[in-house]
Amino acid sequence: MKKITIILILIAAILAGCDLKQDVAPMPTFVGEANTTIAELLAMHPIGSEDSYDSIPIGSNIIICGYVTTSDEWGNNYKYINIEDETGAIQIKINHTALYKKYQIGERIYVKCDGLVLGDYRKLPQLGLWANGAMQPIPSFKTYLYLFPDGAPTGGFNPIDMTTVPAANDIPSTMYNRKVRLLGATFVEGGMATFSDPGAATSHDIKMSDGSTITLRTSNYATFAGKILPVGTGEITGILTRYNNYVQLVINSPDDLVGFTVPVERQTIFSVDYNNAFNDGWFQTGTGNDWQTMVNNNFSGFVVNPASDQDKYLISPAVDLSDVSNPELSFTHRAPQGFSPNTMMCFYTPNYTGDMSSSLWIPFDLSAATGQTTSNNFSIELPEGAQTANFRLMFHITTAPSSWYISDIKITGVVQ
Amino acid sequence: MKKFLLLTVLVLFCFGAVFAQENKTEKKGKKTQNKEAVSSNEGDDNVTSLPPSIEEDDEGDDGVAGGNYVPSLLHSSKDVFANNTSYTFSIAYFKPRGYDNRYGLVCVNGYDMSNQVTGRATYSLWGGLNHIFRYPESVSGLNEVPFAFGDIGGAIQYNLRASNFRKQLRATYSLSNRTYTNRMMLTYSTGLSPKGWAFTASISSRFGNELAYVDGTDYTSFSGFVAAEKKINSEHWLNLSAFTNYQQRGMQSSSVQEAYDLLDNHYYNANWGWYQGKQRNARVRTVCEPVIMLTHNFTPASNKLNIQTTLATTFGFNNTTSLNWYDAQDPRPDYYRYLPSYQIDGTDTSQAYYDVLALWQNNDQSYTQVNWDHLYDVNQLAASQGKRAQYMVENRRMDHFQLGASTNLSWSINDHWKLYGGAIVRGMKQRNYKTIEDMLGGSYWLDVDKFSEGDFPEDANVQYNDLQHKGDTLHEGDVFGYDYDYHVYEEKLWGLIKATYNHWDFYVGLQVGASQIWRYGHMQNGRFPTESLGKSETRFLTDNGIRGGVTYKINGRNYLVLNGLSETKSPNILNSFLSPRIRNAYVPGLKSERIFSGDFSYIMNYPVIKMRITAFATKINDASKVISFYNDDYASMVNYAISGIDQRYIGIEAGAEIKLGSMFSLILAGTWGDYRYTDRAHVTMNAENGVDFDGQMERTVYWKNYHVAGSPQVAATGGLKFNYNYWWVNINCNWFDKIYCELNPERRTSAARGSLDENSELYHQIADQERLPGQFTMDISVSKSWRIAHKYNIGFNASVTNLLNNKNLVTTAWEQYRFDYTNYNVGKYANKYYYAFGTTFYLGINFQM
Repeated sequence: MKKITIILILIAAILAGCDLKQDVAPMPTFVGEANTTIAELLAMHPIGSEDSYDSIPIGSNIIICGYVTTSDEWGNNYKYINIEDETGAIQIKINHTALYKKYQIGERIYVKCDGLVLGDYRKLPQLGLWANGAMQPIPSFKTYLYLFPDGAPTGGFNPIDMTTVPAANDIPSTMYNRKVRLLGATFVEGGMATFSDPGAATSHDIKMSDGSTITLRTSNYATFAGKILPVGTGEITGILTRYNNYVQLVINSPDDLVGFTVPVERQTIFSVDYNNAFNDGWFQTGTGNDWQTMVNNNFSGFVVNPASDQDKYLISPAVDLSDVSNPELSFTHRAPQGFSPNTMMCFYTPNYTGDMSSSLWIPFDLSAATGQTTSNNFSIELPEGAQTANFRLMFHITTAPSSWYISDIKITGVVQ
Repeated sequence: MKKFLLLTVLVLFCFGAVFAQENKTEKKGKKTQNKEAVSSNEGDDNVTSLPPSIEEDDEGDDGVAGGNYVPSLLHSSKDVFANNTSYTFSIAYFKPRGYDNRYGLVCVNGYDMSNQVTGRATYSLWGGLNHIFRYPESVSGLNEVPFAFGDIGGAIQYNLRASNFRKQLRATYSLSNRTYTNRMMLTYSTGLSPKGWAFTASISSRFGNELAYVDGTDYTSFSGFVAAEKKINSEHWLNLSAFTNYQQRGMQSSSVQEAYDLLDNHYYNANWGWYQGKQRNARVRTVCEPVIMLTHNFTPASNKLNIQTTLATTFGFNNTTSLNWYDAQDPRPDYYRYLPSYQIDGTDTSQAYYDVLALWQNNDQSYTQVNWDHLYDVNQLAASQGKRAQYMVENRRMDHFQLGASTNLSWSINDHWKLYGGAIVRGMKQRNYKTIEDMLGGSYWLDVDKFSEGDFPEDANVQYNDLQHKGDTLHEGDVFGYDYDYHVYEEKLWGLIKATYNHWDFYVGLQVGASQIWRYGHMQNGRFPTESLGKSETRFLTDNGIRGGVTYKINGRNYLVLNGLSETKSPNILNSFLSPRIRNAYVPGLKSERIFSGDFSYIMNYPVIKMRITAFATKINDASKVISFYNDDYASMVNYAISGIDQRYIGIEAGAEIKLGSMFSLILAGTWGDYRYTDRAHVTMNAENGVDFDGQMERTVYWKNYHVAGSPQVAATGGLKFNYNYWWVNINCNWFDKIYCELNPERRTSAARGSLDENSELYHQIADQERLPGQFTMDISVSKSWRIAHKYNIGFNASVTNLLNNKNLVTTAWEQYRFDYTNYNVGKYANKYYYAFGTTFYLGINFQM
C-alpha cells in the first residue's frame, strides 16, 4: 500500500511539475535562391520618355532578392516598399497600408517576378501588377504569390554617400530607389517652413555644399509634416527618386536627419476641455443668457444665444505666461450677421484682481469676423505685457440676433 | 494550487492506508451503514443501482467472502468521482479528462446514438424526457464496457425497453431561471401484463423565458416517448421505442469583453433586437429529430447468454437562422467597428469614440442590439428602387436520415470467463443547405459570393454559387449559397473477453471497423465548377482498436486497476473536406486518428469510505479539423484545414465519499489535468473567393506545448451530504482553474509572426495563450419525499447553483480566427467569451403512484 501511495504521489508530483515551454513560430523563410540581380531586372525595361511597362512572362522564373529600405510607419511612404541589393533597387507597389509591420527595414525579401509588370512612373522604376489597362499595386491578398520575407530584419547595406547631386539623366537607373546619404546638405527654407503643407505633398530644396540641389519630397500625411525644417548643415538619409527630370529624396522619418539645428518647437500652453470647462475655472457674470459648452460631432466649444438684454462675460481661468516667450492666442469663432465689434468682444487682462470690474481689460479687434456666416480663425501674438502669471481671457457679448460660437481656444508659445 | 492538490492526494491515501489496516477489526460494524448508503442513492439521477452480487457479498463477509475469492468491481455502477462531479462541475463546462464529447459513447438499447456527421451524441434528442432517460448504465474512464467496445471518454447506455419501467403514473413540474422557466412531464407505464405486454409513454414540455437568464432566448420544447414491448416467450422479447423532442430556442451569442464591460453584463446577447415591441432573435435553432428503435432480446433459459439486437432509424431537421447581408453594414451590434475601441486611432480619441461610448454606456438598444427597423428600412428603400435586398434572415438547414442496426451479446462461458461482442452497421445522409427565411421587406436576393465579386473581372462566373441558376432572383423559401449531402457509412465488429479469478481479473477486447464517406453536391459553384457538382470520390477509413485491462483485487475493499486502449478513429466528415460548402476536395493526407490511452486506479470500497484515485494519460495523434473564417489578408472567407493535430491528456482524478455518522457524508473530489498540443500541425488553406494560392497555401502551426482548451484542467469540489428521514441536503464548494482560451492557429504561424522579435511585447500579445482566472462557486440542493397511504409518493426538490452569484467564471473562451494583418492589433478582433450563469435555481415537485 505504501509503495502504491508513493508511486502515485510521485506521478502526481511529476505531472504537477510540468512546465513546458510554448512553441515559437520561426520567422518566415524562403526556400530557393535569387537568380537575377535588381540591376539585371532593371535592364529589362528601358526608361522611355513616357510612362511605360513591360510584362515579366510567367515561366521566366525570375527571382530577385533585396533588403527593405522604406517604412510607412511615419506616413511618408504610401502603398509601396523599396528593396535593394548590391546592384540596384526597385519600388514594389502593394495595395496595403501599414506595410512596415509586415516588411520591416532591413528585412530580406525574395520576389518571384513571374506575372508582374516592370515599368516606370515618371521615369522611376517600379514593380506591380497589370490590371485594367495600367500598372496597379499588388493586391494585399496576392502578395503571398510574389513576395517572400526571409528572416530577421537585421540586414541591408550602408547608404551610398553623395556630396553632389547630378542632373537626373546623369544618374544611372540603378541608383534610383536606393538608400543614399546626402553629406553637407542644407535646407533652403530651414527654420521657416514645415516639412509639408497641410493640404498636399510638398517639395523643399536642399542645397549641397557644392551648390547642386535636390528636392525633399514629403507627404502631407507624414506624421512629421507639420514640423519645421531644421536649420544649418547636416546629413540626410533617404531614398533617391525622380519625378521626370527632378531628382528627389524621400525620407522615412525625421530621424534620418543628422547634424542639423532643430528649431525650438512651440508648445500649447493653454487649451480648453469643453466637456469640463466650467469645472476647470471658466466662469461667467453679467445678465442675459448663459454661455454654454457644446460638444458633438461637428463642434466643440462655447456657445451663447443672446437675450434682448444680453450683457454677459465669460472669463477664463488664470494662465501662467510668465515663462513663455512669443505667446500666441488663437481661437475659431462664428459670428453671423447682426454682430458688430460692440456686441462681440474679446479682452485679456495681465493681472486679474479677483474682481472683473476692477481688473484692467485690454480688447482685441474682432471686427474682421463680424457678419461672417463661416467660421473665422482668429490669432494674435500676445504683447509682452501679457506675459504674466495671472493672465486671463474674457469674451463679452451684448444683444445680438443670433448665437456666437467659439472653439479651439488655445495659447501657444515657447517655454523658456 | 499544485501543493494543495498534492496534499489532498496525500491525505486521501493516508485515509486509504488507515482503512486498509482497520478492515478486519471494523467489518462487523459496517453492515447497517452500508444498507443506508444504498438507500440514500435512490434519489440520485445519475447512478445505477448496485448489482445484487455485490450487495450479497457485503451481507456475507464484508468483502472477503468465499475464502480466497474476492469479488470483482463492476465499473458499470456507481463511480465515486463521476457521481460527485458530473453535475457539480457542469457549470464550468467541465469535460472529464478534457476529452471532446465525441470520445464518449452513448448507447440506447445497445445502439450507438452518436450523430455520424458530428461524431457526438446529441442529448437534446431526448431533452425533457427525464422520466425515461433517468438511470443510465455508465462506465467511466477506460474501464471495460459490456455493451460496446467503448472509447476513451467512457460510455453510458440507456435501456428503453417498456418492461424496464415498473407500473406507475408520474408527474413533475419544475420552475427555473436558466434557459427555460417551466417544465412539465407526465409519464405512464403499465408494467408487464400477464399477457406479456408492457407499455410506457411520456410527454414533456419546456417553455417560457420570463425568468431566463439571457435576454432574447425564447425557449419552446415538446417531447414525447412511447414504447411497447411484447414478451413473445420466455426467451424472446420484442420492443418498439420511439421518442422525439421538438425544440425551438433563441440562441445566446458570445461576445468580447469590451461589450460585456460597457454594459456591465456578462450575459449580453447580441443576437436579438426589438421588433414590433418584442425581442426578436436573429439566431433561432429549431430541431426535431425523431428516433425509432425496434429491439429484440434473446435470453435463453440458461440465463448465461443475452443477445440484444436493435434496428434503429433517426431522421428530421436541425435548422439555425442567421442574418445575411450584401453590400451593407454588418448588422451584428457587437461587430468590432461598432465598439468604442475601434474609434481610437492611435492615441487619439475622436468625438466618434465618445459618441459610441455613450451609446454603449447608456445601453441604447437601437445600437447595442440588432436594429431590425433599420434592416427593414434599408431593404424597403432598395425594393422601392427595384434593387435587390441587402439584408435577410437565412436558414441554415441540416436534414438527415440515418438507418442502422446493432447486435450485442454477453455470454457467461463458465464461472471464470465471459464473452461480450457485437456488431453495428449504420448509414447516414445529411443534406446541408440554406434557404431564405425572411426577406425583411426586401424584394429579391441574388446568389453571389460577395467576397468573389469584383476580384475576377476576367471571369464573371466566379461570383456565382450555383452556375446552373446564376440568373435567378430568389425569394423566401428558395435555396441558395450551398447545397450538398454528406454520406457516412460505418461497420464495426467488436469483442471482449473477460476472466475473473480469485485475486486477478483481466480482459482483452478488439474492434475492427471501417467507414466510408463522400460528398454529393447539388450546386455547381462558380469558383470550383468542375469539382462541386455531383459525387466526390469515396474515402475509406478504418476504426480499429485493441484494449485490455487487469485488476488486482487486494481484498474485497481495495483494488488496483490498470487499463489500456489503442485505437484508430476516423475523422468526422465535417473535418474531411477542404471547403465542404463549395467543393468536393478532401483535406490532403486525411487519415484516421491514432489514440493511445491508459489509466491506473486505486479503488477503495468500504462502507464508511469509498474512494478512487486514478492517474491517466492519453495521446491523440493525427486529428484533423476544418475551420472557416474571414481572412483579412486574402479578403475572403478562408477554410483552414488543420491536419496532424497531436494532443496529450495527462492528469489525476480522485474522489472520496466519507460517512460521518448515520446522517452526514463528506464529499471530496477533484482532478488535475494537463492537456496540451504535443506537436506542430499542418494547415492547408483554401479561399472561398477562388484565390489561387499557387502552392503557397501550406502552413505550419507552431503550437506545441500550448494548452488544449475546452474544459477547466483543474476542478475540485468539497461537500457535505445530509440524509435523514427522506430529507436530502447537499452543499458543495467548487473550484475551477487552468481554464484556457481556444487557440487561433493562424496566430502561431510564421506568417503571423512575420519578423517580430520573439521577446517583443507585440509578439507575446499575438502568440501567448490567455489563461482565465480560477473561480469559486457554491451549490446547495434540498429534496424531500413523502409516502402517503402506502400508495402515493410526493416529493419536491430545490437546488440553487452558484449560490454566491459569481459571474466571472468563463466557460468558453476563444480567439477570433480573424487576425489583423494590417496593424497586428490583437485587440481589434478580441477574444470572445461565454460566462457561466450567476445564481440560478431549480424548483420541482413530483407526484408518483
